[in-house]
Amino acid sequence: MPAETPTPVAPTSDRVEALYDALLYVVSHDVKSPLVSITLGAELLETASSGGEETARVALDAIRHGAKDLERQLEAVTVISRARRRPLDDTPRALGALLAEIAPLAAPALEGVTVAVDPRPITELLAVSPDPATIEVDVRPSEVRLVLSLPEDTTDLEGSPLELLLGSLTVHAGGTITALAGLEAQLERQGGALQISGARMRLTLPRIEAGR
Amino acid sequence: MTAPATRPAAALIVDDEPDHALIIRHLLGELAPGLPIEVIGTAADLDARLRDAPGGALVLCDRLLAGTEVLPTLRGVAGERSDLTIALLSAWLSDEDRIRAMEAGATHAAQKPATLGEWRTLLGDLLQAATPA
Repeated sequence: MPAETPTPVAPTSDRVEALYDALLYVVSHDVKSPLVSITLGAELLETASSGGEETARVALDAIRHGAKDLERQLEAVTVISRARRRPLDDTPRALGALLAEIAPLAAPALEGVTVAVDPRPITELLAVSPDPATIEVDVRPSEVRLVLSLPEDTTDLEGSPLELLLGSLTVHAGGTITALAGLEAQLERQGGALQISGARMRLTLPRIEAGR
Repeated sequence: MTAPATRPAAALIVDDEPDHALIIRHLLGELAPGLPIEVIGTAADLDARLRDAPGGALVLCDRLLAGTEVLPTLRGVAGERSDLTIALLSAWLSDEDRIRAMEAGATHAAQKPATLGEWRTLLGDLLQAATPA
């Protein structure tokens, strides 16, 4: 039975608005903390000559940690920026062939499943999984769902990685969530979705009719 | 004859930013030499540690600990420990945030200052507010 042709699922304006708000809030709030560390550290360093070696150590630690934290947070924002701007190829392709090398056991279930999604974010998602060969496949009329394991640092996390990252750069910048958030942003541009729960991720891709 | 108290019994710094905690500790040490100071860096056992705080202690509490709001914890603790002077500090606080903090039982709410001079003024004021009359 041919798959129905799905309408590309663009992020709703409400979601875009919410993410935009979250980004502005997290940048204005979280980035300020390392800046305060650097500013205070520099000021403290000026007084170090009267405060002694201990004051100088506190000051230098604050500057070093603040700069490192700032870099980590800005790098996470850069990951999202690149994901939004990356040129994506939406040529229709067989998903089974795409996954054949990484997850050969999943290939039979994916026979006849065609997607118009750039293969790079998919293979990069599989690379995040510690055990991509154990992928679970759920083929539905209009979409296909792939469920994969995630590293243990995501065990207690649930929801959209992008929303989690924009909820707290302080907590999530530089970790698995940052990588997943960048890949989620790319999938969303192509009508896909990504959710995590209990150290597992569920990747949803819209199917298209074969031979489109 | 016992000298009158000129500072709170202790100070608790609740902050997941180690640098901020270190600098606050350093400044408190300048302003109130010998003041017992404890640093709490996670929300894990915050409730229990605040409930066990020395009587009359000054609590300097960051609003978010690893992304978790502390206001619900403060609300529970402030209801039972009215002897504590609780100051909510954050890199950024809106007027609404200040109101929510006071409603949760904080006695003070302030943005984290960006200069040492402002920090000394703020901490000096809070030490005075927490000093028994």
